[in-house]
Amino acid sequence: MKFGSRMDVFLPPSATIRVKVGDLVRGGETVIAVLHCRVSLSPNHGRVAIASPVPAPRRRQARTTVPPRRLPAAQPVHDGQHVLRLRLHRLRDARRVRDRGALHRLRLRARHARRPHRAADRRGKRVRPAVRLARRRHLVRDRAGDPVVRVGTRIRSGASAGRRASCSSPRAAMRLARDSTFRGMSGGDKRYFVGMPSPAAAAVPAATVYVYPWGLYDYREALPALAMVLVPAILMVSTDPFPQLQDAGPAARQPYTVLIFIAAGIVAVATHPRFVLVAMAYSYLASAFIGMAITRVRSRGGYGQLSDGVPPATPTVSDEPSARDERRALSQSANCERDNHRRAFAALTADLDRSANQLDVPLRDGQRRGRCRSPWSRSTARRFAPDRRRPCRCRCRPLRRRRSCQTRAR
Amino acid sequence: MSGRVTRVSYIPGRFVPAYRDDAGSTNERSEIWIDHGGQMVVARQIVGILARRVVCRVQSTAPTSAPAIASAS
Repeated sequence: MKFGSRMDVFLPPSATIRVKVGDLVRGGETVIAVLHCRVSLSPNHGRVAIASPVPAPRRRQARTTVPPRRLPAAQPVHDGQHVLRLRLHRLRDARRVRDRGALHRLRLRARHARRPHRAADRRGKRVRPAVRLARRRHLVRDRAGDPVVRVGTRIRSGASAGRRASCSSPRAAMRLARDSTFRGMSGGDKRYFVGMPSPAAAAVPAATVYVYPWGLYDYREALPALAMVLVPAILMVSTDPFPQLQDAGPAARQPYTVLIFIAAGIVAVATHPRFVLVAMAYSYLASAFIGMAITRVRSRGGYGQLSDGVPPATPTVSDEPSARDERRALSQSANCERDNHRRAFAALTADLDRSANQLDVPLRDGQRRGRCRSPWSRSTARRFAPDRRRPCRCRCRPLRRRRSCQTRAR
Repeated sequence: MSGRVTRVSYIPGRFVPAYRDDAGSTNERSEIWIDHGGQMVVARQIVGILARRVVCRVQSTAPTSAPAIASAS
């Protein structure tokens, strides 16, 4: 046996296995199994195994884990959280014992149970339901049991929201990432820092001083220096996305390329430290602006209403409301609040349906953002809808414009 | 064990890592079928991702005894 290869030994079913999982066996020494004589000396005597006439080879591996056992009979499926959890348990069990049939059946059932209106919902088919079940369950509540979706489009990163979470807007994603960074959790988008990382910010003045180590005696000369200090400082506390270089785009998928780049970078720093260091520091600084510009250009359509940088404002009630105005404002407030929850939840689920770490996925033709049509989500959104006494935090709009406000989740 | 090698087969195939389940059916492998008094015991050597050749020094119809002389290299 050489490194990395393996040997399967197929024994007759009547053989008695003498090893168990985890044993170290040596070729020529360890007795793996004892074969019983097929032709026994005295028929029907004692423990002589009677082999079938043509013993079918039965696979015996030393590495076989738990012998597969059948799961108990399936429970009737209703809609709702309890069954969802039950299904998850059963999925886990099926995974544990590697009961492939049960896995398949459970997945099928999950698909059918959760998607009564499949024609209305094309998106659901692409992701495997099991994955979606698990992911959605983890995301809906955080560790403290609080719903992740809160009033307004604020999306909290729960502990279990974890690393796959992405949000309805880049801004919310950044906030999520920043939130989790502040809490020392691993969450948010892994490709970006929130705000300029402090080593990079420190590199800008350091490289500048390294290039130009002489003093500045005139205040007019000192003004650019002041900007050089202030701009990274402001960027450090900003919420702009800064790329993490560990995942530098498509080139990162080829390790050799990355290696060559790193080597070239080291050589460049060693030979021309001044220029290269300055170029690195400032290009990283500039990359944030370029990235922001690209994001802004890309999402120019439909970027307006909700994620334009201002958190949803409190309802604008006129200064001296008459009774009718007040009533209308109240009903609008309730409507908008409901829509807000629905929208927030729909945005969450819609984003989960897409691959998790992408921020700006353009909409396909005919696809609308928001408004999850799955009845499960709708009921769940209703259940997680929150206490109604809190004031609505969205911008209340006249009723006839509510629809557009509703369909645009971003 | 002892017995009679009734068949030695060589099947070329792929080189997926040997710990995977499908390695037994897709990888390059060699089987030694040993007839032990009417009971068939099959030893199947499966190459891995590193050891990529099966060397089998037993031949068919040769009586063998423990250890079966074969190794993957």
